[in-house]
Amino acid sequence: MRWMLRRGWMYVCALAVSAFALFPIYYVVITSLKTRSEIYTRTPDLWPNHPQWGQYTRVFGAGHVGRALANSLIIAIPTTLICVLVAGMAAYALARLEIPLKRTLLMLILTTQMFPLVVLIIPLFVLMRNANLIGTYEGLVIAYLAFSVPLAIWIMRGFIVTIPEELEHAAMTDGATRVGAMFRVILPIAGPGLVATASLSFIAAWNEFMLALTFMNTEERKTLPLVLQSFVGRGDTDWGAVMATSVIYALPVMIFFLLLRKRLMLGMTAGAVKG
Amino acid sequence: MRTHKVLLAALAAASVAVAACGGSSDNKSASASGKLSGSIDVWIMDPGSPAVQSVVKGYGTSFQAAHPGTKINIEFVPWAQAHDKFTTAIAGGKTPDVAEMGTTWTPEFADQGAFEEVAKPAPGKYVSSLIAAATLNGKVWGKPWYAGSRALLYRKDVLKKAGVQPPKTWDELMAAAKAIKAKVPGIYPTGYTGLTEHMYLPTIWQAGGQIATQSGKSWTSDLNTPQAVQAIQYYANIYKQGLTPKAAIGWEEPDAQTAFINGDIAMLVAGGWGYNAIIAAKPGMKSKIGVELEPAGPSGKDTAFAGGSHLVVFKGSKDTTLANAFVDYMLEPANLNKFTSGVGFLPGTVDGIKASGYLTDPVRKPFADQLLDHSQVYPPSPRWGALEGAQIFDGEIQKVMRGQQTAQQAAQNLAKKMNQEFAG
Amino acid sequence: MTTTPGQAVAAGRVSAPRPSAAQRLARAASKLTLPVILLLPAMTIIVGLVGYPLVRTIWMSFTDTRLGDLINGTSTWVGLDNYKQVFTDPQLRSSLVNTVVFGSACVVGTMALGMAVALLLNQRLRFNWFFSLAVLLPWAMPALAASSIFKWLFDDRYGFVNWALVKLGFHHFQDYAWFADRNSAYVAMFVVVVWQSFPFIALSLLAGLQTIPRDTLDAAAVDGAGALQRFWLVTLPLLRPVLAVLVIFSTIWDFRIFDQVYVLAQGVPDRAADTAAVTGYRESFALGHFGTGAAIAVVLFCVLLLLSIACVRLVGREART
Repeated sequence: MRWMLRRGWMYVCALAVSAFALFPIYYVVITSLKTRSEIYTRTPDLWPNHPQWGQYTRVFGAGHVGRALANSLIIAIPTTLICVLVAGMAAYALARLEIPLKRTLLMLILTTQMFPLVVLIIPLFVLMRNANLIGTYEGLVIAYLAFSVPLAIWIMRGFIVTIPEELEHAAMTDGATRVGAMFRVILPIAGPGLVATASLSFIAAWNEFMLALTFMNTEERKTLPLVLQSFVGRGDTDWGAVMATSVIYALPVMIFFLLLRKRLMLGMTAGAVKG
Repeated sequence: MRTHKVLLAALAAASVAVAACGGSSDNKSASASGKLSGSIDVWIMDPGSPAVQSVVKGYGTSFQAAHPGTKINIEFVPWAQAHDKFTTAIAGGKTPDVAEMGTTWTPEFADQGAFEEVAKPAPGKYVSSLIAAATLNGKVWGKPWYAGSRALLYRKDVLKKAGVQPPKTWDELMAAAKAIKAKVPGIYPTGYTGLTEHMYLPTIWQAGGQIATQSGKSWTSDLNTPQAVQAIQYYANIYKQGLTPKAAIGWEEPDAQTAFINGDIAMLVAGGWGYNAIIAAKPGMKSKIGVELEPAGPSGKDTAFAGGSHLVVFKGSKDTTLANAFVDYMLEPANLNKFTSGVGFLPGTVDGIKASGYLTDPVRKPFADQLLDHSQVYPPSPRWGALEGAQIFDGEIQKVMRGQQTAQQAAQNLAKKMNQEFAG
Repeated sequence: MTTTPGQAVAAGRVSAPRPSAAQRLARAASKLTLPVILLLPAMTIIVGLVGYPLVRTIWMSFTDTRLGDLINGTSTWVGLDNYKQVFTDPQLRSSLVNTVVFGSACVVGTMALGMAVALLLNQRLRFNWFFSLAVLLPWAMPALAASSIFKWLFDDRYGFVNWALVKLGFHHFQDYAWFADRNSAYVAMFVVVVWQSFPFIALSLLAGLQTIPRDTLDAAAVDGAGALQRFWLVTLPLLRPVLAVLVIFSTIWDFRIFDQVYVLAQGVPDRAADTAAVTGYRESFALGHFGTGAAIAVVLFCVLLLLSIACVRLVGREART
């Protein structure tokens, strides 16, 4: 009984939050398996009565979702890796080293995030055109980096600041250089933060629509959001295709999360700090 | 009806003549210009259907096969974002060579000097309203590719149950709608939407009014007139009297189409492309659908909006010769019809219409008639695209539908906003 | 002095006897080498790519720029006219108010849910793996896809939400058009935004919670602090840097919100639910008033800048005391 009072309500809350989080995803999956007449009904069922994979073969075949998936990966993976490396270095410097005008610099980095992207598109396009990067993978990677690095710097800096400095000093008195300490001590402890930052920049690149629309000029290079949008055409929105593509679209990130859940969730820090 | 036939006959005759000379001159120019080479970028609006996409891609591959050494890069651009993509490309100085352009956008971008001028076409070669839509300051800036007008689709079975004939006038539509509401349960009479101006702006023409008039280079709104007020009133009344679903106030055209497909509404204003989409989604519906011209207003006019697309060649194209050659290739009747029959539009050339067989198909003929004889284009002002893009009309109409303002107030507000926009 | 300069700096206790000017300069230069190496790549990317568009947009907000001007590189200086318009035109002004009110609501909603979920996750309940996965998944759903999905869930006729509400006895929701009315559109958009953004907040806060040494909490518990007291007195102050970053970022994201509003608020009469980013976009791309569009963006920028500075100041001051 006391257990129920002390812990029971937590389980109820966890269940409610899980339901809120999962229901829309569940609904997308079942809708993608429904037939058209089952999709357009006034009394929606919570499971497909005649599950069929037709939507998937259709979007993979005629919709070229496979090609778009590859394009999105080709762009998002380098963006993430470069972003974490570049931003990690900067974040460490801004968290630990003495830099004149540090606060102002941090604020300046942040200001680049404060403009709505849409009004920056035309000048960005001009820059890209001058650099001959319109329609290339590299162009989009660079553009995405420009918007994800500031964010990543701030978040990683936040994590590094919370790591007790004594740990580093201990390592350094043990003979490690500052750079060595950075890699040996900070990197493992900041693990969850690092993975979170990587996820964030991956997802930002993975999701981005406006710049991809503006900069990509061939069918062969279109990314997933562009393909998804093409099913929300000007005629009848193809909800079956939208749902199936959404599932495919979300799947790589979900798998990524599945693999890294432990790293994201289990604090290795607690142990590290103690030991 | 009789004038109609005469017109069609005249059109057909003219088209034969045009085809005769057009064909020979085309051949000559092709042989005179010698071998084509190079590569061009072509932007086409995404038709949504893979079948139609492959027709467009087919133009590229077959043109390349006919002219070795050429490369046609076709990209599909979604309609919803196309205007902005064009704006950015034009402002950023990196446009494609050839593009499909919504007819209401052609004057807007032509005004910025974005396109190559098109030689004034012989009268009777193209659907004339589309040439009007491509004309700015007396010059033509795009070649009509395809065109279409909305007509009235109705469910034969539902009208029969309600004991009414297909409506031909506003009054008949009101009466039919009320009869359906009273006698046929489970279905709404109409799907008149609160969004998508092509659904309600034509009622102003039907009432005998105009949307805007031109004097010299400037345009003035005609919305602050009794005819426009009457039209807004009529359109809003259908909603206010519960003859259209309550949710329709937030619908766009495709939502109404979906409702029609699902058997939730009995009458729908839709184009041939809509008709195609409907029977593609639900083939069983084909036998149940009838098509009529749009109901005529008190002025006796049953005018619809003539929409469609132009093919334009951009100024600064890498290779205007190749670009023009490809445009002309796409407009050859046989090629043209592969596309238009797929999407359910009418070809933009008179030859194309003749070759399409639309005029002899009883179901599709009303769409052709509506376009050829009972349609009009919106004012080809360079600012029209902005009015459309800003959706200034929807809000005012929705407020009348909701009963938050009178039709008179809406007309006044719209006239003011339009004139503001026309002025600068 | 046996410590290396870096160590001394990090520990914040540099107190050497006065060196000569040249020595000081050399020392300053060597001190700056590492930071410059570490910062250079990031700064190159940021300044190189965003710098010019930012400056150009700010400049454009003081001009009357149309599409033709963009092509020809011309434009007329109009001073503060665009700003005057932003604050006098009822539609533009209301879009700013919408942004502040709706944005703040989203930030509060997201942070509250995110914190609650992070604390729950930190409890290591049984089935924690399931709970953590469930919470992660909405984050994996791309914004564009999520907007479409919620549009479908809130669909007036075929949507699950209306069906369920009617089933529960709220007959008012039969055929209810969520996106045709300002307030109901905001309710739906609030749900979309919170659904999409709480996982990241929860995750980041959890990672922050896990960097808090167990000893500290245990010590507080030994001293007799209750769960709530421990949260207020130990957890929250230690989380402050992470929390500050998250609040600033949520504010920036939610005030800058574009996709969801653009997709979902189209049907609201008079576009009365549009936020500043959407209005700026419409002014620029639909109406061709690039100057006015830029001015809206700059106003939004100033609002965000002030809020961020305030937030940083607040945290900084409390951290020092």
